[in-house]
Amino acid sequence: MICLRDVHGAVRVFFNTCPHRGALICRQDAGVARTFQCFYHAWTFNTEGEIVGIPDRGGYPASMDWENLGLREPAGVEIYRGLVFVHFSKQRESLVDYLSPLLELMDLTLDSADVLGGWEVLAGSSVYQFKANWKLMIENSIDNYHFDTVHETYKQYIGDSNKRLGGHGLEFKEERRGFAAGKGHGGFTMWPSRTARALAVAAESWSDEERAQIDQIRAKLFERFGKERGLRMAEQSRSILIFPNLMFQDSGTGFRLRQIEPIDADLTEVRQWELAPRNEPLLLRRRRLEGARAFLGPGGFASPDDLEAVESCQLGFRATEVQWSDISRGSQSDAPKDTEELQIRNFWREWQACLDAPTPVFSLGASS
Amino acid sequence: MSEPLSARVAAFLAREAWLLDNWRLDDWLALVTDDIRYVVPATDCPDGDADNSVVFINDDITLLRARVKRLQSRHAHREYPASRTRRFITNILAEQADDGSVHLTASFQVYRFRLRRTAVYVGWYEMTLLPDGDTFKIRTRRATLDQEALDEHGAVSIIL
Repeated sequence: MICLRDVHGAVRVFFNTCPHRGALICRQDAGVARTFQCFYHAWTFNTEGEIVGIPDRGGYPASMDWENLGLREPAGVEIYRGLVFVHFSKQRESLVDYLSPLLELMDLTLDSADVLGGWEVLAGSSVYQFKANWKLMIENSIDNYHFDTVHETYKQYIGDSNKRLGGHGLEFKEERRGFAAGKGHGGFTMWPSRTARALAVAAESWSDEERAQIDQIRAKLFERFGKERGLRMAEQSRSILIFPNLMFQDSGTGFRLRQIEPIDADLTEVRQWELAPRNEPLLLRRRRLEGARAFLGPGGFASPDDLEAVESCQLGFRATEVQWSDISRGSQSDAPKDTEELQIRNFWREWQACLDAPTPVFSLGASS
Repeated sequence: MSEPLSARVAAFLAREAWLLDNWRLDDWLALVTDDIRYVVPATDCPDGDADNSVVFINDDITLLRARVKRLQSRHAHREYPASRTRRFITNILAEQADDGSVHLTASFQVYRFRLRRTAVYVGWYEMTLLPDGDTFKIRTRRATLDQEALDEHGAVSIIL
């Protein structure tokens, strides 16, 4: 797809497919253009998707409906706080209704960068594939039960280097929760953070200058959003699955969006972007990136082992005599923990409901 | 009397490739300086500034030691059991500055085999070597991948 701002500044999304004979209209990953010309037969479109040029137009019948030969758009495009979502189905609720069970948590993150000029997406993304079904990575992404077992080497590395600065005046009683919101959304939260957090919790090992910058940001958060909300922005880690396959992670290691895209039954692509406050001090920007690389980067100390786990599951399930995963952990829990599996059951129940729906909930292409 | 620079640099690169391929990681670590900087940029941002954009790896000596320690642990699941690798380092262009330091570029192909799957990392090195007796130590190493994404690799779980 092509996502752009048209000449009037409005966000638009088009299928990157020439309505003439199907070639890609845009063959650059990013850039600036006033028109898009298909290289195949030079049909040309403006930023609003209208057709503005056709070589040898006289060769077509006079009855041609040129207005309907503009770039095709998906069924819907909606924006929440700068995040652009595309719908492929015409039968749907509004984006805000769809996200409503998550908005309180999402807004904590989205608002928090206001004290530093708002969020920006950093250059450089992590794009990688693995040989396993996408749903295994969804499970992995909202499962904190595996953290202590799989990520032993990460924990060793982090060890003392990233331990939080003693207390910040908080009474330290960590609360770690798994949650299932409606519509398949869910995840886990941890609060206050045991380790440094990119926006506003310093580690013991950081310099005086870095600590002073963190103190300033905390003060601004409390001033602008009040002590209670400001503290949650600073201290709470939020790993959120936006059903079915977008991770919204504001963790100790930064804030990232992570798309988990199925390519085939046993092949998945991850596309991952790091976000940072526009006016973040450079020293803290470095700390943020250091944390992001160490944990969830493809060259980090944790992510490669997650891939190993989900690929291992895919191989294990080749034994078709073993048909089921067990995700009953915490099923009798009154206060679900992050290391329980409520959020995973919640995902699978919604997925099952989608499969059982009389009309397909997810379909390929732009069918109406 | 001494061998030409190009031969000494090629011998050094062959030696360190051999150590990495044979998982002699502590011996390899002895070939880097204490102010080492080892960077692997993101595939879609090969010129990325490690301080202000996403790169896959940006190790100083502390992180590189931690990486080696991790790779020697049986908890580095992506590399336990360890993959087999084979490195081909070619097209070496080296220049020596007045202070004796060597700046080089070279092409690499690193094959990784594991669980009956093959991934090839293709790219180029930009390195600074400092003279160390009649051999060198690595002071900077930037391993830029030519691949557009980590399609067959999933991760950069070995040292490039």
